[in-house]
Amino acid sequence: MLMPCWLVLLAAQQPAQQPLLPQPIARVDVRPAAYALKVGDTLRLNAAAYDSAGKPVDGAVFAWFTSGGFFEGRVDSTGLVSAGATGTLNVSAVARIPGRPIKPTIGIARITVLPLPAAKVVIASKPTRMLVGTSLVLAAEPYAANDDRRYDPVAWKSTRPTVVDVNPFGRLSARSPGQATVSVSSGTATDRWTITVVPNTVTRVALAPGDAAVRTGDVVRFAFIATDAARRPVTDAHPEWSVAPVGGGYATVDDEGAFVANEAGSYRVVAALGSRTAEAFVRVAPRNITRPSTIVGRLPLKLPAAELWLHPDGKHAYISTIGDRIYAVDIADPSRPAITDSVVVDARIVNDVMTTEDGKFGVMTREGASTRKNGIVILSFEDPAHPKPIAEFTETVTGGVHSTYVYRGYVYLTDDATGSMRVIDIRDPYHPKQVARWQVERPEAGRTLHDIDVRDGLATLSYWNDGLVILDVGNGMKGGSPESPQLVVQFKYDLNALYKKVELAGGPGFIRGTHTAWRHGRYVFVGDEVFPARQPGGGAGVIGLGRAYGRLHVIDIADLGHPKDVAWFEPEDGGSHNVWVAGDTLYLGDYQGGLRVVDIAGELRGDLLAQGREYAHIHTGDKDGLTPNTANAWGAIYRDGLIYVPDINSGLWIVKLEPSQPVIP
Amino acid sequence: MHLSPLLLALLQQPAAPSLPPSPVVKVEITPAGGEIQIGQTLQLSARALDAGGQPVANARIYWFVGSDNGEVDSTGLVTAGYAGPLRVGAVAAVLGTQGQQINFAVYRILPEPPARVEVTPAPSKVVVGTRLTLVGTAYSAHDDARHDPVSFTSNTPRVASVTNDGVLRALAPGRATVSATAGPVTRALAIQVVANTVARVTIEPAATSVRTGDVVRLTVTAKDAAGRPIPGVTAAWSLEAGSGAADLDPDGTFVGELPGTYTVTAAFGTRTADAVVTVEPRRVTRGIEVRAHLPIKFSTAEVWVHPSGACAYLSTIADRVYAIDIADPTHPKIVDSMLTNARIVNDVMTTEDGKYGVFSREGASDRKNGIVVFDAADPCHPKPIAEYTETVSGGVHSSYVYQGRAYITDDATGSLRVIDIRDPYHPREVARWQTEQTEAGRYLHDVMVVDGLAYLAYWNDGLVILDVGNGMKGGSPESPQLVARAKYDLNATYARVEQLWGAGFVRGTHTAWRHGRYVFVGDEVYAARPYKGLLDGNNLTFGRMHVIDVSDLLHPREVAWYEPTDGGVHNVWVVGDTLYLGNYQGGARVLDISGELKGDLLREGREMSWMLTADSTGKRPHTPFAWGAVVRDGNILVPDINSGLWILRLEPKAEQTP
Repeated sequence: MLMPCWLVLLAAQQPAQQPLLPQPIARVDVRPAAYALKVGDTLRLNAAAYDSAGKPVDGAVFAWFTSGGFFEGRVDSTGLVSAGATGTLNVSAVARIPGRPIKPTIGIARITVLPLPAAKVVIASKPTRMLVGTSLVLAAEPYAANDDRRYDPVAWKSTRPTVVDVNPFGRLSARSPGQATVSVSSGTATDRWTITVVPNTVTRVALAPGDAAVRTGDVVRFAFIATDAARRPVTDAHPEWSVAPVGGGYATVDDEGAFVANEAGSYRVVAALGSRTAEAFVRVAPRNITRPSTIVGRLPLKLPAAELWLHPDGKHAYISTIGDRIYAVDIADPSRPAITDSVVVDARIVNDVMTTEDGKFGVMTREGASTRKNGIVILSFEDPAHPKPIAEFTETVTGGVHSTYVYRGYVYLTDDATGSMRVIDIRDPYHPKQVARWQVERPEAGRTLHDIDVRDGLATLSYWNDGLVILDVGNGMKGGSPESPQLVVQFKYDLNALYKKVELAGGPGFIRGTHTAWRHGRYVFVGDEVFPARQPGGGAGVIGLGRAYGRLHVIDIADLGHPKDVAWFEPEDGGSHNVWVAGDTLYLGDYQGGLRVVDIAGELRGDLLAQGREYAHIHTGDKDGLTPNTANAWGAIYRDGLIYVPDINSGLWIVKLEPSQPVIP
Repeated sequence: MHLSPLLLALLQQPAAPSLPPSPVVKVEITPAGGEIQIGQTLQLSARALDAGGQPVANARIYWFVGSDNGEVDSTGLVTAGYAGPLRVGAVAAVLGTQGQQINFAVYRILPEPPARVEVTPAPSKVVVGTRLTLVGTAYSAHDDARHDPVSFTSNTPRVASVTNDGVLRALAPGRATVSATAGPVTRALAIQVVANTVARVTIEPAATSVRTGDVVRLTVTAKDAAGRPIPGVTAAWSLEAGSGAADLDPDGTFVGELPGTYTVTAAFGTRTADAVVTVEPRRVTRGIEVRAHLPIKFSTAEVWVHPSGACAYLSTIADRVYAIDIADPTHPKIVDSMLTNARIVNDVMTTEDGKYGVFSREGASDRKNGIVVFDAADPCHPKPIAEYTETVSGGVHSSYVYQGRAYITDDATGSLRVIDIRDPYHPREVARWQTEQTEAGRYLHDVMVVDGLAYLAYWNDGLVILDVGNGMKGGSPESPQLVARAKYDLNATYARVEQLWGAGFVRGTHTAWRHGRYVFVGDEVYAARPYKGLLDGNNLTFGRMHVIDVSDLLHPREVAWYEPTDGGVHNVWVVGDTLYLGNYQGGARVLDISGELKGDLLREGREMSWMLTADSTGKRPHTPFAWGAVVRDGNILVPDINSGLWILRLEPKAEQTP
């Protein structure tokens, strides 16, 4: 979780303790009030305070803040705005008069940050050979040099339309044998390549499998077989794939023949090679995997809860808080979880807690310390019921640490101040020391690293505006080590386009970023955190219910050099916060939606929610919460048949999924 | 709202603490399960057992149904009403002791045998080389969908062959009859196969750009070598590979669920044509403003705005209706109330001129329920003036006031009663109408009347349309006449609720709202039990809103749906191109229903706004449970069971920058 930045603004709006005198400042104007910048640019804002008669107020001084999506850029104490990432920055100037107790008055400027110009046009697959009489549709997408998606129009051209014709939608038609160069342009960026058209000797086409029977969400990969008169396979026979529901339904097939249906029904899959077509039929049954659940145990807390970690002994758990402590909880009897101890530190948020693999030591994070010395605290968990602080590391990370991952004697942590990853050696836990720093190379404004996960020597970094970053920190594939992390790959997606509805609902300048990542098999499950720029209000003392948004992306990294966003899960009633994967099941803290349990068996493609891949949904709210009846699930951990869910509003939940019930038609 | 769970809750109330504990530890129901045909009965018996497994002699058994598709009487005689699992409960208690035991048994009510088979598509003329998949569905005499396999045969396979599961191939010119058979019934399709003389195929429009959810009707024309159109031949439509998801009918009707560029192909054998549909995001989301929130001490139910706009009436799951001054919608104030002998006042509505009104009663202590007629001439101080109870003493859940009559639902018999209130001091019944499948499980939940047609949300019987004065079937308020019925498979739609919480739950056609060519039909769905282990938490409701196309009133057709993933659909209200919905746990929802509707409205991005109607005040804080919505002059009045009345307003459309 990132503390919503309106909290910063609210803090600025707190009335002073002294009695207020008549207000000398009626309004604050910020100029320019609206402006557009490119990523990396800066802009000087000026603020002026006026009284109720419209006259300038002498002696007013201004404090500058970014509200809303402050992760996209920065404003310094002089009003200089630095644009870091595409989106909208709402910059506030709060006026006060030194020495006079007045109510702070705010002026706002809206700064739109635009992407850099188009530098490349990306085409997923470029055919170099085609058979006469065949066609293919290609999708072309323009990108800026820093991989920000652009939406400039794309123009297609062929040097020899009699050989290869291309229409405005990117459909290539091979007309006659020969060579042609096809080009695609967007703004100043162009890509071109040569296609050789060869005679079409195909006499027979077929699909394998011929027909299939699956469930919604199951991927069927059809193979296209083209042979000539002598029954020899013909290479370069690339069909156009299409799908048709019989009587209604949603299904897709991609340009490699991978089929998946969202709804039960019958579908016809067609592969057309010129005038020759091959067909297959797929019968799709409902997935019907929903399972009942039981709430095994509950532990309400007095503070808002955050992260949960289970000790390797399986008998103790640790819950961090949006407060100054972690709790140690005895979970030996999961129906009666009980607090056994706590560790209190100087912090406003202890966002993360995790132990070493052997359970002897561990780390908790600090943000908002009164001394401004944040960083991490090293704990001894040698008595699991009574963890004890034994050391701290603050030197290079005094600005705060949000997330950590403990892996083979090193702590991989996020540095709030610089948006960099730091690697801290805790092999001697009493004397932690930094051994590496790594960061994405981009303007410093807007560089935010939110979360880290390490498996098999590969670190997956959730890099907010910069998407998913994978580093070699000891795997060896790029020669990396904990002391010298090496970039493997970066994968960015268009957060602004994806969450346009959040801007439309709550105004521009909202919070959105790549928030968490969990690698499992060929996939990385990447969750976004999204909050609107404002939430519904209420009267004095009334707490309204806001909502989060957010998609869980499924990124296929089977080819690590070319990650592909292949599927997604996006709850309609909350967001995606933290995830946990065990076997074929994914557990998700969905904020307002509570716990979601998702079937990730087999190949994943398309909209997992629509496909009926949700096993269960548990609303983690009851009357005993800090805020009663209001789910705000942080994440989930699965262990030995039980799901442990920390909920910000209501503490710890321990849940069990029951066996599936048969569906009798 | 449906109240079976309430009955259960009442039965579970602890008795006075001074009594000794009940000796009953277990209730045994015999038989513990089984199958019953619709209309059949089954005698159950129950034994109350003590800790030693011995029968408790003086225990009394109380029977009730936990689902809504059949009945059980006080002796344990079950009558099967409608297909699906029937959950029957037996409570054992000993007078003078504290506590009771409950047990349930589930009986599966089987649908009636197949009476007809529907085939989609049903081509009459195809060209040689065409390949189509035919899908057959069997239905019972009462329109219950059956899940029997449908098998296909052709009487002339050299002309048109068909596989057992419906893959049709047109092989040579000629005529063939393809038969679809399920059990005792067969549907025959006469198919003419003609030579493929198609030389040119065109699709109109060839290129079009729309938003997600916009329906595009593509038409295909086949011409021969001389350029003459070939009429009546069936094309095979398909969607080319690409990202996104879209729906394409066998008649070429397209709707995009996700943005993308879609290539649509129509084929006559080997002759094909393409069209390109570019689909942009719909982008209709809008902010919503809370203008006011008036917390209420009771659980609230329906809201109705007096035609003057001065006051609104808010009914309660209790004994009263509040009159609320809404002249200033930012400061609503309770100014009066009408108290009555009832446990639930579910519905309230005025006459068109606002002079009188009706509210419903259920759970009266004297068992005289029915309706109360009130004088609303002073809109903020309504006064009861008469009541009608004679034929509806078992309770009235919903009423709709239309041209001098109240169309009311009779809880006891599941029938519609028409009460003439033109003399409001002397209301009298003038008609009764009911479905005829079976009395057990017959339940009429809601009524709406538009243009002389009554739309009945008939729970197990789906949507029923009656002529009550429109004239198309010679109906009048005194003599309602059936126009059409649209039933859908509730058990299949909510299979996941059965998987989650067990068989035998509450689900039915709950509300209906006619607007333009559509009827918006909402289902109410409650799980069979709460989460195991959850104390006083927020349980889940479910439910889909079906969009039924009634442009051909005699043949209603379900064309689209909206199904929130976090609650259900309760009551709806439509103004212009916008639908407002109470979503129970999900709060208030606003939907864009402009243009033609097809497919999954939620995934098409037609949801305009979203508001959790909960805060730290109200009868039950932080827990949205939105009942419905009424819209007047841009103000959206949302009664929330847990938190009272909300007045919301959609914010203006935000400026969009790419």
